[in-house]
Amino acid sequence: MTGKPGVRVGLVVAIAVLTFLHFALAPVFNSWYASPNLLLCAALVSARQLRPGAATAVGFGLGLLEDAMAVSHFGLATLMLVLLAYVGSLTRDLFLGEEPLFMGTYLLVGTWIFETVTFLVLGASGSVLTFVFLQAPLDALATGLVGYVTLPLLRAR
Amino acid sequence: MKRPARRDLPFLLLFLLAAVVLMTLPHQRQLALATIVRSTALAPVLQLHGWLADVSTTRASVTALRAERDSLAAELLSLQGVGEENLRLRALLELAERGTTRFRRANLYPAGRTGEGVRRAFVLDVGRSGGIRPETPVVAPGGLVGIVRSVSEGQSIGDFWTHPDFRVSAMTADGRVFGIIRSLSGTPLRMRLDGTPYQVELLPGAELVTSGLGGVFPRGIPIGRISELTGAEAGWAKSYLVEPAVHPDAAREVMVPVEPGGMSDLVELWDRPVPDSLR
Repeated sequence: MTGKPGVRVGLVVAIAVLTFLHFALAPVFNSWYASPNLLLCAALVSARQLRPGAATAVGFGLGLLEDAMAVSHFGLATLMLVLLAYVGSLTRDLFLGEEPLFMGTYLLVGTWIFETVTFLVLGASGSVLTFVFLQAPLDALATGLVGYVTLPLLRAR
Repeated sequence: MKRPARRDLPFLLLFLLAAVVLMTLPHQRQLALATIVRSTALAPVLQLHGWLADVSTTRASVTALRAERDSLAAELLSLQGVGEENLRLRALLELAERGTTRFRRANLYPAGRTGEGVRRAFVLDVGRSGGIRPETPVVAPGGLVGIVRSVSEGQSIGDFWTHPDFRVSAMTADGRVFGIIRSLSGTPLRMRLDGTPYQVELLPGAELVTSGLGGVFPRGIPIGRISELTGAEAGWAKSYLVEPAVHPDAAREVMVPVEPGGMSDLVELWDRPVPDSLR
């Protein structure tokens, strides 16, 4: 984990706030055409600040919350968030810094993968192509925008 | 790219293993774990949801309730004395009091993920403190909704009849034919009635109710109506598609029986024409 106490506090606050808002605003987001996944945003943003081991622990905790809320297909979100958090943390070695364009793309790709895999595993009704190439990218875009707004708050300490 | 530190790989494997264990836990254990998380870490969020839902419902229903109250007040005036007369006549005819089972009203919130086509589980806003117990049926005015699986102090988690693990013993409204109801995947949402006698054919539209066998569901809760014959198993049993009485998306305000002793028979709670065979 990053060594500076200010970074740690900012990160914990960002994760807590995003997690609370994710669940608190879920009924509102569900009625929107493009709904940001703030929990995934918290997991992916924190993964960029943490070692892979710590990132998987955060992913596990957040995934467990998501599974407890959804109840059905228990464990799916936990598995996905553990994997995404680990891979997200590994990108620290590939891409240095937190340029807004990179972070937006990083969140967009991460959310798109999460939503697409979840949709396919759930076997949900509806057109696969429409979801994978329209709904999931829109959700991913919304998540990227939230991350774009969140990152400056994370740095402000 | 640097290789990930060796000390991080065991963490990944550990949490992956834990996630897989969560996925493979028996359904009851999963619900128990979800209940613990919901009543601790997620409790503030759920309280907020409940409060917002109450505010929304209250706002929407004030006008309707005022109109209903005025109508009921007028009706009540015209019915004064009828209740006492009814009780006296029932006593004379030695009929049992109708609807002795005590119910607890609850708000039902479907649980699931975005994109999930069929809702399988739900959350009720009453729990142990409201007298709710595990393995108790959940009913709506239309009929059977599902079953409570896990109960905490202030809320309960249950399965809709759409859950793959859901089974209920059913019978026709005249009590002649018995079978087992299970859910079918896919849309539109249907049930299947298995194990009915081969020599008896049920006609489309025949009503199915819970049989009371098995000790979980009391007798007489409407389940659905026969839609069509789907097949015969090796000449000894028949299966039918069943149109459900209650769709999961339509159930929001439900009732849960809270007196197991009085749950032996709920036939009288649903008005239906008495079959000729029982007259």
